[in-house]
Amino acid sequence: MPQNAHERARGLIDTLCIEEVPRGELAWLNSHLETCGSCAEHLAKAERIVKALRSVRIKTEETLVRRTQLNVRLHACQMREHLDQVRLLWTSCVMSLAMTVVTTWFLWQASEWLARWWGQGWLWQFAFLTFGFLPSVAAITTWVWQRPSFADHVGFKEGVE
Amino acid sequence: MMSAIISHFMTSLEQESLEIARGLKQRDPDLLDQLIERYQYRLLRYLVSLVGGRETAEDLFQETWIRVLEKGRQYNGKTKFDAWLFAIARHLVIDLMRKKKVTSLEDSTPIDKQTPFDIQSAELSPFEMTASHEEAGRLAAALDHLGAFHREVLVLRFQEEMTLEEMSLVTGAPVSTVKSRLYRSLEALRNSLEGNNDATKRS
Repeated sequence: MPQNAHERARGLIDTLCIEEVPRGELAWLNSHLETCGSCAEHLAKAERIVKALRSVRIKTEETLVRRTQLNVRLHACQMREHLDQVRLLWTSCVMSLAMTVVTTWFLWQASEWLARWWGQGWLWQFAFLTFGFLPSVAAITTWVWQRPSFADHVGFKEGVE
Repeated sequence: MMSAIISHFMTSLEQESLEIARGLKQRDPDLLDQLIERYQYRLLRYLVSLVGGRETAEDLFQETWIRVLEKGRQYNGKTKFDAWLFAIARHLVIDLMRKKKVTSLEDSTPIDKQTPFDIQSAELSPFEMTASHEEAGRLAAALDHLGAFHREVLVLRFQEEMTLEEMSLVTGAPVSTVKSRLYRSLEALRNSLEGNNDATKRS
């Protein structure tokens, strides 16, 4: 029997383990196996391997499942708390911004009236802008500096240099 | 008639996937408990096949479910949940291997050295049990010698009974690549078993 017939048969046997084989090929394989003992043995080995693979077992433990369920629930609680904090923070920022927009116009008008009354226009406007924006600038600078990723990044760069 | 049954079955599978997706978006703790219970065995078996040991697999088991909780909103229910779950587990294993400076599953040796699989015997005669133990022991030893790369596809195909498309989703590789990995893995397992058999005969 030509060698390539055996190779074809063994290829088809391997294919059978993995996916469907066309009917024509299957019929050829069956007729080949009737006359070839070594290929039949190859098929038997392949079937034993697949059967053994399917029968390999593993034990699971109740404690692992309970531990995992508890950890997941805890983590879910932490995520909810974090989300609530973030929501509160965003709400505060939005309200603060809205209040700022509303009150700025009034404050500007008041400082402009004061400036006219005192005769020092540019000074009051300069003071208003400085004192109005200074807290925000300070807060943003502090927040950016305190963020771990930023601080570490800067620190890392300085260390490398 | 059969096609109607299959169609009905597929529809209920899709329905279940959509319900899981809905529950994960809401981070429903009861749903997560049920999923952990349902997939405990399969997920642990898959993780053991990748890392080669129990202890690390158990740590990764917990980590996988925490990741499911965090990333649950990304699951849209259009694919099977187990494929998505296994893909998450796989990414965690790869992250762990990167920390241990292993570049891919193909290069990996077992992280834990202990033999991970227990031998189960059903209702067999003593002779059958002994033969089954020996066979399973040889297979477990042969699997242990294979890389995680090979063990993974064998477990997904023959234990999880996944289709090639589902395996492609889990591994992130095209179907053709998955197929060729399966061929190579079967060949490697066959050679490893034959090597063990020769060693047994010589001793």
